[in-house]
Formats: sequence, structure tokens, C-alpha cells
Amino acid sequence: MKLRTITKIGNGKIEHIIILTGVMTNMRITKCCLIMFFLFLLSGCWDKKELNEVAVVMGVGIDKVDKEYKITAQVIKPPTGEQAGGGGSELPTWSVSATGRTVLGAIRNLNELSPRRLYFAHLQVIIFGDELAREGIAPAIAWFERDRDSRAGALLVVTKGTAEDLLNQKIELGNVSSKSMSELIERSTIRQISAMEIKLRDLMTILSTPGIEPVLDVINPKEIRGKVETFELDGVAIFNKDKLKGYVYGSDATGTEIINSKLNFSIIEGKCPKQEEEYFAFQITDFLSKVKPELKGERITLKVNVTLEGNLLDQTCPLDLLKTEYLHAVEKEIAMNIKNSVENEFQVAKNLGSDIYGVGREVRRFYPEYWKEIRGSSDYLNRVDFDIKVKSNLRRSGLIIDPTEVKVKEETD
Amino acid sequence: MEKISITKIQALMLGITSITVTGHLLFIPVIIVHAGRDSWISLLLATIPAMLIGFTVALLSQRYQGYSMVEYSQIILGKWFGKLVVFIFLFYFFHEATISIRGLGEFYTSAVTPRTPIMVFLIAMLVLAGYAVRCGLEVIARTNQVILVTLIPIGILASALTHKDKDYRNFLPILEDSFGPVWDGTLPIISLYSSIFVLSMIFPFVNDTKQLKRYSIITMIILIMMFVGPVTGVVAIYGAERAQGLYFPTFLTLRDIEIGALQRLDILGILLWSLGSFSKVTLFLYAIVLAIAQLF
Repeated sequence: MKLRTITKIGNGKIEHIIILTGVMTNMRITKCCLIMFFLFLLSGCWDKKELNEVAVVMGVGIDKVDKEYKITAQVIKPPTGEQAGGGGSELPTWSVSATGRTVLGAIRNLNELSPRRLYFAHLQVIIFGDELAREGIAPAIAWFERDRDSRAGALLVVTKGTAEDLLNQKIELGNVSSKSMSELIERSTIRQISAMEIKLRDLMTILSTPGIEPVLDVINPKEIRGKVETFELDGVAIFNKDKLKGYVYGSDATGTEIINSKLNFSIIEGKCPKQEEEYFAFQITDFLSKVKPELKGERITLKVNVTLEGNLLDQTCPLDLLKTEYLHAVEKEIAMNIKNSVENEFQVAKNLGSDIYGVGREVRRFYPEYWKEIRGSSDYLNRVDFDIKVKSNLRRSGLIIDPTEVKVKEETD
Repeated sequence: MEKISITKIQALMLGITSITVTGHLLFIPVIIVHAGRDSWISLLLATIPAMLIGFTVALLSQRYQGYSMVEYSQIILGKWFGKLVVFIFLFYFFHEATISIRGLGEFYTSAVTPRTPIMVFLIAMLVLAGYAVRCGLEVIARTNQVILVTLIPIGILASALTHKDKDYRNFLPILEDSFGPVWDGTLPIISLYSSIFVLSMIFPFVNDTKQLKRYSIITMIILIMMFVGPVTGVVAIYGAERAQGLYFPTFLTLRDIEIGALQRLDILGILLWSLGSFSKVTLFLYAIVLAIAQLF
């Protein structure tokens, strides 16, 4: 192959025309044509989405208003040139709501309000308002399950008011409220609290499996000094099938977390031995619970074996709790607390007709014949007993052996 | 016809890729719909039939050295009846190739790119496969070697990364509805493994058929092993009830992997099935072309 260059001079411009000459077989022409053809394919497929054409949805709130679904989407605002450098006081997010008879219908109506296409692939959290949750959440998540973009890892929470209200709160720590909510739950173990952390995928599994009912985290706006400044992780919401039935607060709300081995790094408080109104605090560093049902006649005994390890990190009583005589009392107190949490939450759920620990599922696993008899109703919940064995190991006590308080006492005695 | 020669490992690798990929994408949902949480028992029950199928293919090819299925059917069954059987097989190969092309297209349109017309994927796959068939069996075999070596680590990676989401208690109770559903699940697996019969078209080109029977039985065992991970994984992650309602459960397990910053590994699944389907379509297209050439 030879290259011949012709230089033409016209209008003061020099144009180079390169002509390919010489032997150019048919094969080569075909190959060149093919390469040129493939260049067109490089532009991508029909489904390309440019970042500047989409609005990234971080959180979705679903409410029920006048028998219609009201969807509130919180999207990230595209940064304007000036904003890019420093953080202004303006929020980087924008919330928009629309209603529709179905969730997708509402999202279609949302797209009428948004010049950018809503993009759900980075969805962090789906919030159900109280009213919608009481009517049933299954119809509201159908689209999220079907959609190929949506994340099965999106967290699901319930709020006592409306979801729209919760999403639109401006909070002090964090400027994207849905991101803050997902961090409130996902990083709960770092902050030594426990959360259910139910994701879309878990809910799909729980709702479709007979003999277990979902329990979701509850997030509410929290007023501080008369103004909403942050979110509060406030107990759990108990469902029967897909309908919200009630809430549980405080230490009782940890029952499902104990059964599901989710209590790691959480804090347990207990009464000091031999002292009234004095308490110790115990941090769990290793937590494992194993559940097995046992059937005796009509009674179902749920055997829960809890093994936990942890550190004694705080106490108000002037006692050396690591002494053998007190150690047993401390471990007993921890076991007592765990038992109470499990039984109290079950009691609440039982009255709501909800099998939150999956007793039915466990019975089905080990006594499938008996399950076939009782599967019709939730009556079996009344015949459930608990046999909770807690094996706790108090491993360490932080950096000191006994608190200063004890030393002070010894001096004065 | 030019002298083609591939090794028996290459031939069996072609079989492994073509069965695994469509199996994972299209057959695992079928097995799970039938057998639910006992799918793994269905899989184990299919071991003996699968080994028999592998044994038969190898035995026939060894006995009629250098003859393909089209040729030896006519020797064994006589000219006309043989041709009839070959014709049925030809239809079967055609059917398998069609299913896997369409399956890949459906997978793309419903799970990856809903706006792109399905024809784009069908045509692209056919053009590629046609080109590969034109290049000959040796090229197909070598391409497939490269593909399979890429696919297996992806499969192992996927199985390892999803481990933390798996709850093996989901397999209890075992045999809740006794063996009925399990048999229903075994049949699609056996029918899937029967498509190893396509290798009877390429065994004549294998340069050394010593111990072919042993090798193909080992291949079938490898195939069973490659199905254990995805079948059990799907049930362990989603629970039997939810897994029965999923179109592409194996793809979803990949998509839902979330380990810190390691998220959305669906691209691995797309890669796996696109490359694998290419291998399968190519192999079946080659078999169809060769069979037609030898039949008429």
C-alpha cells in the first residue's frame, strides 16, 4: 500500500488530501467497512443514561392519601458552578411529591414535575408512612421488586407521621436526610445501639415465607429545643402479614434482634448486686443466638441458646464487680435482661396476632407434619413457651480493674 | 473437508460451557419452581442419569470411530429410520440453539436494557456465532477454552461473595411433600444434561478417543458440581418461597451482593451469560450445519 499526498493551495489554506492507493484487496475493504460500522456501536445502547440527564433518588417516602399512593422522592440537586467549592447553607437535595393509583403511576406523575429522569439505582431508604403501613406495604413495594434499577439493599423504615414530613426535615448532622437515615441504621453497631436493618430483599423473603412476620425499624423526627433537629431511632414496628399493627419501644424492642443475632456491640444495663438503684453497663462484643423449637404435645417450646461475650464498661455502684461472688450476679442480671426482652416483645406481638420470631417457620422446619395442622391460623402463638439459656462471658473491664469509686470507699472505711 | 483435530478436553469443555450457562440462566428457575427447597436433592438424583448420558455419547463415538451421530445413526438404524432419528435430533439442536439465543435476548431486555429492541441482541449473537462457525471447529474450541477459564473464577467468586447472605436453615424441612416435587425437578435437569448429546457431532474430530468414556463421565460430574452452588445459593439467600417467584434468581444473587464498596456485580453475570451463550450457540450452530451437510 502506498500513500500519495496531494497538496492543494486555495484561498490561502493548505489542504492535505491523503489518498490510499496501491493494492487494496476486497478483504481489506470489508474489514475497513466493518470497523467503521462498529464505531457506530460505540455510542452505546438504547438504554444509556447520562449523569446529567438523571436525577439521583436517595430516598423515597410512600404515603397513602385519599386512597392514592403519594410518593415523595428526595433527589440530589445537580451542583451549580458557584456551589461546587464551598458548602452553602442551602440543602443539596430537593424533594418532590406526586400521587397516583399505583406506585409507578405516582412516579410517572413525578417525572412530569422533574426535568430529569428519576434514577433509583442509588436508593438508600424507603420510608412508609404510618397510614400506608396500616393498610399494607406489599402493594407499595411491588414495583421496587420488579424494577431492574432499584436496589434490593435499600433499607425499609416506618415513621409514625407521614413519610413526606420525615424526608423533608432538615437535620443538623448531615445534609442529605435519606443518607442520614440509612447511616442511622447501618452504622448502628458503631454507635453501640442495635437496629433491625431490614432491607428490601429481606422483606421480600419474610413476607413470602409462611410462619414469620416482618419487624421494621421506626424513625421519627426528634424535636430538640422546640425545633426538629435530628432523627430518632424509636423502637420497632410490628407487622401482621404486610399490615402494621403496633409499635414496641425501649429495651423490649430488642427481642427480634436477639433472636436474629443482631445485638452485637450493643449495650445492656443491669442492676448492681446487693444495691438498690445502682446500675452497671455491659458492652457486647460477640453475640450469637441459636433457635430451635421443641414440640411436646400441643406446647411449642422455643429453645434459644444465647452465647455472648463482652466488657463491663460502666457502673454506678462502688463494688468490684469482677469478683467471683458478684460476677455470677452480673451474668445472671444480663441473662435476665435478655429473657425479659425476648418474652416481652413476643407478648406484645402475640396480642397483635403476629409471629415476629418466626416460630411457625421454625416449627415447619423441624416438625413439618405438625405445621400442616396449625398453619391455618396464628393460634399456635398462644401455645409457645420460651426456654432461654444465656451463656455470658465477662471478658474485660476496660482499662481499669475496679473503679475509683471503690478505692474512695476503701479509703473512707 | 479439511483435517480438523481437537483434543478430547477441548471437546468436553465445549460441552461444559454450553450446558452450564443456559442451565444457570434458564433451567435453575424451572428446577426451583418444581422442587423448591429440595432442589439440591433433584440435582443429586440427576447424577446417575447424567453419567449414563455422558457414557452413551462417548461409547457410541468410540465404537464408530470417526463417524458423527448423523453417520452412525444411519449405520445402526438403517438408512431411512436413521434419517428420521437424525432429523429429530437436528430439530432438537435447532430448538436448543433458538432457546439459548432467545433466552439471552429475554434476559437482556427484562433485566439489563429494557429499551433496546430484542432483535439487536439476537442478530448480534447470530452474526458472531455464524462467523465463529465459518472459522471452523478448532477456532470454536480454542475460543471456548479462553471463555471457560474466565467463567469458572467468576462463578466461584460469586458463590464466595454471597456466602454471608446465605442461611442454610432455609433447606429445612427436607422432603416436606415427599418425593413428588423432587422428581418433577429432576426431569428438567436430565433434559438439560441430555443436550451433551451435541458432542456426538464433534467427537469424530477428537484426535485421541482413548478413555473418552471415563472423561465424559467426569465431565458430567463436574457439571453437577457446577450446579450445586447456584441451586443451593438461591434457596439459601431468598428462601424457597421467594426463590420460586424469581425470573433470574442467579442473576439477582449477583446483583444483590453488597460487601462494603463491592456492590452491584451484575456486570459479572452479564459477562458470564453473554460469553457462555456465545459458546453454546456457536457449538449448536456448528452441529446443525454439519448435520445438514452430512444428511443431504
